[in-house]
Amino acid sequence: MAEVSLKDVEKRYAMVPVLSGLNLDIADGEFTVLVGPSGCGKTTTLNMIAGLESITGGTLRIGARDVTTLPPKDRDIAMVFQSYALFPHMTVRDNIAFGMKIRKTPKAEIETQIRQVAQRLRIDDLLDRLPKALSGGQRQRVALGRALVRRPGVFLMDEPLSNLDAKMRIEARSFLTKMHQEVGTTTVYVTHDQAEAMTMGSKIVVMNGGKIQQAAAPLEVYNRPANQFVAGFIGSPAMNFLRLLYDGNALLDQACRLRIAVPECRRAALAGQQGKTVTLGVRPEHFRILQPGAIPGSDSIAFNVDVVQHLGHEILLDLSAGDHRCIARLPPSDRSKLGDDRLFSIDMDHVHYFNGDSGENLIDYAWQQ
Amino acid sequence: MSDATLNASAMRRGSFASVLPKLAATLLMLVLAAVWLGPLLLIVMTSIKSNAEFLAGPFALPRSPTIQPYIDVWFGLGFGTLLRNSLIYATAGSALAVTLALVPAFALSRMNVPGRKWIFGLLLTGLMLPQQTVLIPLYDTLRTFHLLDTKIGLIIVHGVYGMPLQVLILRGFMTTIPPEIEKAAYVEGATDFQVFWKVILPLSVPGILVGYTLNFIAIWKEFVFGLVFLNSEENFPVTVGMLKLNSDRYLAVFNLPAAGLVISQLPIVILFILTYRQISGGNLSGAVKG
Amino acid sequence: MASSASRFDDGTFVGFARRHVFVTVFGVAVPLLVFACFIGYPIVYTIYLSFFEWNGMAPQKKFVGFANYAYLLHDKYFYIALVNNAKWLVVSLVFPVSLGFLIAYVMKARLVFAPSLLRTIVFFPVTMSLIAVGLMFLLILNPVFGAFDTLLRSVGLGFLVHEWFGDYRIALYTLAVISGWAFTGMPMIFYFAGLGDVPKETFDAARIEGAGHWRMIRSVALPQLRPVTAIIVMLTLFESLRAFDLIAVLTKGAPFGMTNVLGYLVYMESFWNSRFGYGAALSVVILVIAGSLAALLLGKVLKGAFDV
Repeated sequence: MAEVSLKDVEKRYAMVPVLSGLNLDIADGEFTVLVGPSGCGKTTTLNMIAGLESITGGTLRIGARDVTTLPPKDRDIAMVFQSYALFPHMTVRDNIAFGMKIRKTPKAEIETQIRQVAQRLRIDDLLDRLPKALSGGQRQRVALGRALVRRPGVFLMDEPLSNLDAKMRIEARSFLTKMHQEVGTTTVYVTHDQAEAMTMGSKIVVMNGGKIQQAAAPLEVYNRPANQFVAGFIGSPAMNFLRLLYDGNALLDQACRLRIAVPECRRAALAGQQGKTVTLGVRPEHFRILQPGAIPGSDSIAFNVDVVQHLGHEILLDLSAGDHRCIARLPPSDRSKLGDDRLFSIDMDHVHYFNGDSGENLIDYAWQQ
Repeated sequence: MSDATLNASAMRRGSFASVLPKLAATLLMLVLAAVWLGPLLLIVMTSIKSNAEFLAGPFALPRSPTIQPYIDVWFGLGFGTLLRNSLIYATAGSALAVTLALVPAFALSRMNVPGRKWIFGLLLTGLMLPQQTVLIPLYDTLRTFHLLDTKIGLIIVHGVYGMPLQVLILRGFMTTIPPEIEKAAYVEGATDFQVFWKVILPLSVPGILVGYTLNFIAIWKEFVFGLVFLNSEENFPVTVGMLKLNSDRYLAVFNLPAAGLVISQLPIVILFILTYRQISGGNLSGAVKG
Repeated sequence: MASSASRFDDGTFVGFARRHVFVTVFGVAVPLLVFACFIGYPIVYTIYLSFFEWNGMAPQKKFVGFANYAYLLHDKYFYIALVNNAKWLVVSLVFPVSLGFLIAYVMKARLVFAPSLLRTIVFFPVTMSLIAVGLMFLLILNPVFGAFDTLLRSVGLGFLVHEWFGDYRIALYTLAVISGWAFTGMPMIFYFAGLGDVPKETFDAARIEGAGHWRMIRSVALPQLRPVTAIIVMLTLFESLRAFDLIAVLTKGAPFGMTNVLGYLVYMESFWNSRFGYGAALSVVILVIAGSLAALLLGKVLKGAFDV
C-alpha cells in the first residue's frame, strides 16, 4: 500500500518538453484513472511512474520514498499492459511466477502464492496452459494475476480492457472494480474511454496536450468541469457549445436572433466578460422541448431538427440554429420529425460558461462552496 | 495482395484477351522450368551413366544405372573429408555468426544505443565488402595468430563475415516481438540480461533458425576464403576440393564430375527440403525492412 | 548492475553504458572489437599497403607513394576488367532481376499452375555453390559432349554453336548469364515477398478501374516495389563486384584476360603475380567504387529502407 505523488514532473525528448509541470497526488488505496485523447501524455505519465521512461525533471514519490531515478523493480509497482504482454513461451504458472523467480523467492512460497492468486482469479485450472490457448478474458486475468501476486504498493494499468470485445469489457470492468475493493491497492489506470473512467475511478485525471486539465472525483469532473476541454471530453454525447456574445445581461447571437438571459446569480462571475465571446456549455440532457405554440422565454432557442436518432430508451436530436449545432437528449415519447422547427428551453441551473478564448470555466466552484 | 485479385482482372473479361496472359504465362513457365530444371536433371542423369552410356549422348536415358561414378569420385577426391570439413565450417561458422549477432540485434531492435546509425553503417560495410579486397591483410592477421591453414581460423573468418547479415535478420525478427512483453519483464524486476535470456532469446528461436540456415548455406557455398587461407587438402571444404574436377583426369568422361556435383550439393538439398518453407518465405524481406 | 530506469531514452554513450553493462559489452564492444580486427583493420591495411611494393615474402615493404595507382592508370588489364565488370552488371540487372520480377508477378497473379513448384525450381540454384554451378555448365556447354550444343545441332541451329568459354567475344557473357541463372531466385523471392506486402486494396482499386496485367505491373506493382527494387539493385551491384568463383573455376581470366573482372584481377595480381602492393591498389579502387555506389544508393534511393 502506498500513495503516489508527482511534483513538477517533466518529460523531454531530445530537449523538447512533451510533459511539464505535472503535479498529482494519489492517496493510498485510491483508484485513479488517467484519461484523455491519444497523445495527451497519459501513457507517458504511467510509464514514468513505472520507470519505463526516465523522468527528466521533478520528483516522483511512491510511499515515503523518492523513486525518481530508481529502476522499475525497485519501485514497488506492478503493471498490466494493454496487450496483456504475457510471455508467449511460458505457461500461465511460469508467467505468474516470473517475477518471484527473478527475486529468488523460495519454491514453496511461489507455489502457495500462485495457488492463492489463481483461485481468486478463477484461473487455477489454466495454470499449465500456454497463453495462446487462452481466451482474451482469461489472458487478461492471467496478466492481472501476474501483477497481483507481487502484492505491490501500486498497480499500474495501461488500457487493460481495450483489447476485449464490448461485452467482455463491461464484465471485466466490474471485475476489476470488485478486485480493487477487495485488495484495496492504490491503482493508476490509463484509458481513453471516458465511460470507463467515469465508472471505475474514484478519481479522474483528465489530461490533454501534456497537461493535467482537471483531477477530481468522477461526478465532480462531470458536473463542474474546469474548462471547456474537460466538459467536452467527459460525457457522451458530448456537451454542446454555443459561442455567444455577452452584453452584461444575456448571451446573444445577432445573426440568428438568439438571446439567452444569464441568471442573476451568475452575472457576478461573468462580470469581466462584457462585450466578449463566452462559450455556453449545455449537456444534451439539459434541453427541454416546448410544446408547439409555447411562448418563447428568456432561456429558449428555436432549432431546426436535422437528424433524429432513436436509441429505444431515448431519442437524440441533431439540431441547428444558424451556425450553431447541438445534440439534445429527449425521452422516447418525443415525436419530433426531420425538418421540424421546434422550440427548446435550456435548464439554466446546469449550464456552464467558458471563457471564449482560454476555455476556462468562468464559475469558480471552489469559491462558491 | 490477394492472388485471386490479379487474376480476376483477366477472368472478368472472359475473352481472348483474358486467355492470352494465362497462355503466355504457362508457356513462360514451361520454358523456365526447362531452363532451370533441365541442367540439373541432365547432370543427375549423367552421373548414373557408365562410360559407355555417356558416349551415347547427353540426352540418352541411362539404360543400366550405376553408382560406380559416385564411388570413384568419392574416393578420388576424398569426399568424406571434404564433406566433413564443409559441415564443420558451416555448422560452427554459422553458430559463431549467430552468437555474435544475438546481443547486438537485441540492442539495435530495442534500445536507443547512442551512435546506432554508425553501428548500422559498419554492419552494412561488412555486408557489402567484396572479400577479395581484404584478402591480403586477413591473410596477414591469420598468420599473426597462427590460424593460417587451420579449421579454427576459417571458422572465425566465416563467423565474423556472417555476423552483419545475422544482426539484420535477427533485428528484423526481434522488432516483431511486442515491446510490451519486454517491458513487462522489466517491471517484474528482470535485468537486461534476464530479459534477453529469458524472454527475447526463447521468442527469437524461429528467427535464429532462419538466420542459421541461411548462413549455413552461405558458408557451404563460400569459395574465396577457403581457397586463400587453406593449403592442406585435409582442411579443404567441398568448394575448394571440387576444383580438381576441372582437370583432364576427371573431364575425360562426364559421369565422374557429374557425380561429384551431386554429392557436393546433396547436404544442401536435404537442408533445403527441411527448411524451404522458412527460408524462401517473406522472412528475407523482414531482414532488411525492420 | 545493468538496471533499466531509462532504457527507452536517448542519452550519452557513457550514461548508456553505465546503465546497460551487459548490452554494452556483448552487444556493442565485443562485436565492434571483432569487427575492427577482421573487417576494419583489413580495410585500413589494404589502403596502407597500396602505397608499397611488396612480394608477400620479403620482410621489408618498399614505399612507392602513388606508383601503384600510376601504374594502374596505364594497365590494359585493369581497363578490361573494369569494362567487364560494367558488362557483367548490365547483364545481371537485365536478366535475373527483370526475370525474377516477372516470375514473382506471374506466380502472385496465379497465372500459372503449380506456382510454388516453379518458385522452388528457380530458387534452388541460389543454394548451390558457384563452383558447382560453374562445373555444371562446364559439362553442359562442352563443345563436343555438351548437352547444349548437341541440342542446338539437333534442332538445326548448329551455326550457333560456339566455344562458349574459349571465344573471347562471348566468354564473359557466358559467365554473366550463368551467374544470372544462379541468381534469379534471389530477386524472385524478394519481389514475391514485396508483392505480398502491397495492400490488396491497391490492386482491387486498379482492377475496378479496368487495368490489365501490363498496366497493373507498370502503374501499381513496380511503383509500390520501388524499395524492394532498390535493395535488389544494390545486392546485384555488390554481387557483380564480388564476381570471382565462376571465373576461378571456368576461365581463370582467359582468353587473354578478356574474362577478367576486378575481383579476380586483385587475386591474380596478389597471389599469383605476388604484387601485393598493386593488388592492394586495385582493392582500393574496388572499395571506392563499392563505397560511392553504396553511399549514392543509401543516400538517395534507400532512404528508410533500413530504417535505423
